[in-house]
Amino acid sequence: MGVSWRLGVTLVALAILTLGQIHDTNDYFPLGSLSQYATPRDMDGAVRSTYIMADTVSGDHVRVPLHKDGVGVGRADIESQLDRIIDDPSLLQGLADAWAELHPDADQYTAFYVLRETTQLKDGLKIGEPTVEELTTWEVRR
Amino acid sequence: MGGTPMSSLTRAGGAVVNWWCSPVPLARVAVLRVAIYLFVLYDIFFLTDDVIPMAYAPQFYQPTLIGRVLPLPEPTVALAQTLQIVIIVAALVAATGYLPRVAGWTVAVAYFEWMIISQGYGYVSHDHLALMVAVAVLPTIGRARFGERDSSEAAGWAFRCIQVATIATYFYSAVVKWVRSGSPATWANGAVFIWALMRRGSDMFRWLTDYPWVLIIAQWGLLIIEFLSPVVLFLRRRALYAAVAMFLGFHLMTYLALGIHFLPTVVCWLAFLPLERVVPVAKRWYGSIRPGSPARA
Repeated sequence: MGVSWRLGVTLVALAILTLGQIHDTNDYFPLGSLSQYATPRDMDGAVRSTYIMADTVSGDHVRVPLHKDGVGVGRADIESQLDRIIDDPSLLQGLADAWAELHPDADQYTAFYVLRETTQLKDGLKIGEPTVEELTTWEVRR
Repeated sequence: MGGTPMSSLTRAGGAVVNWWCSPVPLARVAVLRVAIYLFVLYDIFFLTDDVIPMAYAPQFYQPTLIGRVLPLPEPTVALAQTLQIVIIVAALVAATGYLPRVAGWTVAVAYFEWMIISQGYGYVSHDHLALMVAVAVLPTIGRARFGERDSSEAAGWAFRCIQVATIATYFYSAVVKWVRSGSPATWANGAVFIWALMRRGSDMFRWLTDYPWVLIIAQWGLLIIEFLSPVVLFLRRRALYAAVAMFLGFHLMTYLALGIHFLPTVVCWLAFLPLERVVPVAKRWYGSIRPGSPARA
C-alpha cells in the first residue's frame, strides 16, 4: 500500500467525518457526529429524564433497570427511540422478553409505565418539585 | 521567493505528506499494539458487552448506515458469541505481534461488526472513533518487534491517523456544538452541565447545580480547549505531555462527576507518547523476576 493510497483513504475518511458534523448525524458511524452533550440547554428550560416503572408477578412496583446488567437496553437507547415507543408501545414487550431470558429466576414484569420526570429551571436553578407524566403503558403478554 | 504557484503547491503537498508519514519507531508500534488489542478485549467484555443481552430484544435494533447498506447478519446471541471468540483469539495473536496483518485484519472486521451491532440500538456513543481508527490502521504497518531500532513511514501514517482521530473527537465535538446551537456562546452560556449533573451527577459534584455561574465558566473552558485541541498535534516533549495530562484530567473529572469515562479515547492518547521507552524498563523487570537470571543488587 503506497503513500498515495494511504493519504487518499485518509482524505475520504476525514471528508465523511466532516460531513457527519455538518449534517449532525450519528448515521455515518463510526465517522458520525461527535455530538455528546452538544445540544444547548436553556437556563430557563426544563430538565427531562425518562424512566420505566413496572408491575411484577409478585405484586411489586419497581424501576426497570435500563442498562446492560438489567434488561440489556440502556436508558439512552430508550430515550432516543421514545417517539417510536410511544407510537407502538408493543415494542416494550421486548424488554419483558429480554428480562425473562436474561434473568429467568427474577421477579417477572406484568406491565410497563414509561414515565418522564420534568424539573423546571429559572436562571439555571431548579424551582419547585419535579413533575412526572406518563408517556405510555404496556400490558405484558405471556 | 520567486517560485511558481505550481512549485509552491508541490512544496505544500510535500509538507503535508511528510507530516502525515513522518517515521515512527517500530518498537513504539509493538508497544501500542499490545495496549490497543488488549483494550479491545476489555472493551468487548466490560464496555460494549451489551451486544449479548441486547440480542434478546431485537425489536430495538435500528442499525446505522453501514448496518443497513451492507448485507450484515441480524444480531443474535449466537452471532455475538461467535464474534467474541474470533476477537479474543485474533486480538491475542495480534497483541504479540505475530501475523500482524492476518490477525490485525481479522480483529478489524470482527470488531467493526461487533461495534455496528453495539451502536445499533438507537443511542450511538461517541468515544470509539479513535479506537476504531486504530484497529483499522494498525494492520497496515506489518512486522514490528519490541527490540527493533528502525523507524517506518508506514507506522508514521498509522500513528498520525490515530492521533488525528483522537483530536477530532474533541475538535469536532466543539464544531457540532456550534452547528447545533447556532453560536458557540449559546451552548457555553446554557444549562448543559446543569442538565447533565441533574440527570446523572454523582453526589461529589451534584451540589454544583446550585452554582450555575461556576458551570458556565467550566463550559467556556471546555469549549475553548476543544477548539484549540488541534494544537496538540504540533506540540513536543514537556508541552505535549502537559496537554495529554490536561485531557486525561478532563476525563477523570467527567468520570467522577457523571460516570462517563471515555476510556476508548483515553487509551488512544498513548499514540502521542514515546512508548518505546518502556521496552528496556520491561526487559529489566522481566529479567529481575525470572528465576536463575543474574539478579542485580
